[in-house]
Amino acid sequence: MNISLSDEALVCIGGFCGAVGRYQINDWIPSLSGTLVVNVLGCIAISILMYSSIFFGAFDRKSRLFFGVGVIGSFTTFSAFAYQSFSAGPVIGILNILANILLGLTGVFIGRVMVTNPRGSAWIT
Amino acid sequence: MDHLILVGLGGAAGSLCRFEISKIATIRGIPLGTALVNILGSLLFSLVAFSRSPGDLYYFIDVGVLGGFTTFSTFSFETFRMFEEQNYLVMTGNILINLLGSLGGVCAGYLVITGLGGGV
Repeated sequence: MNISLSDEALVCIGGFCGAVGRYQINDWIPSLSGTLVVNVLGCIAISILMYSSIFFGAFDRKSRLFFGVGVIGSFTTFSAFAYQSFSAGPVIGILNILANILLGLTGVFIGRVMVTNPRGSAWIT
Repeated sequence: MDHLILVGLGGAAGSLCRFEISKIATIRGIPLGTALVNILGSLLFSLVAFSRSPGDLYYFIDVGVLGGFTTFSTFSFETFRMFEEQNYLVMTGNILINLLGSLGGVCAGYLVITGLGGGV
């Protein structure tokens, strides 16, 4: 992308889009499951963005601000996750915490594999 | 106002605040900016949610501003990087700070609202 918007404007526009996307998904999949879905999808997305930048320089700084800090950062949420875990009672709460943390990290791992190993070729580190 | 617009405008404001706070230092390998937005955001989210605020306020502040202010993707990515770099102690510390801090924040919000004789 060749863009001249300020860092702040990029983050704001991205943040608008990410929050609206999260709201839409919560419309289809409400409550804890919706939050889990946005968080895991966001983890896969940020991993693709960051690892393709780290390994191949795929996205410049402005693109990372727009997509990473703005869109994806705003799409995922920690506050609703914490609130829902607290409110769900001990058993569901703990399961929800484990699901978000473990599937979130798995999402980052999946994104990394998609970037480094797209055709089943050798693992690049 | 349409909830979609409220959520979007809130998300823009929340993301900008997170961007500014995320510039603060990383101490002992822990990205404190991410932990700070997640803990503070969870506390504020809980204050609005437990007070059973009217719909517009909930959508603007909680779904919009605080949803955009806090982030799960950056937290997971930073945690995964610590795992990758075999900083298992730092990784565990990072998970515990974010998790216990945000749950503590929600709990504190709950106690403030119920203690004030709010809607719960």
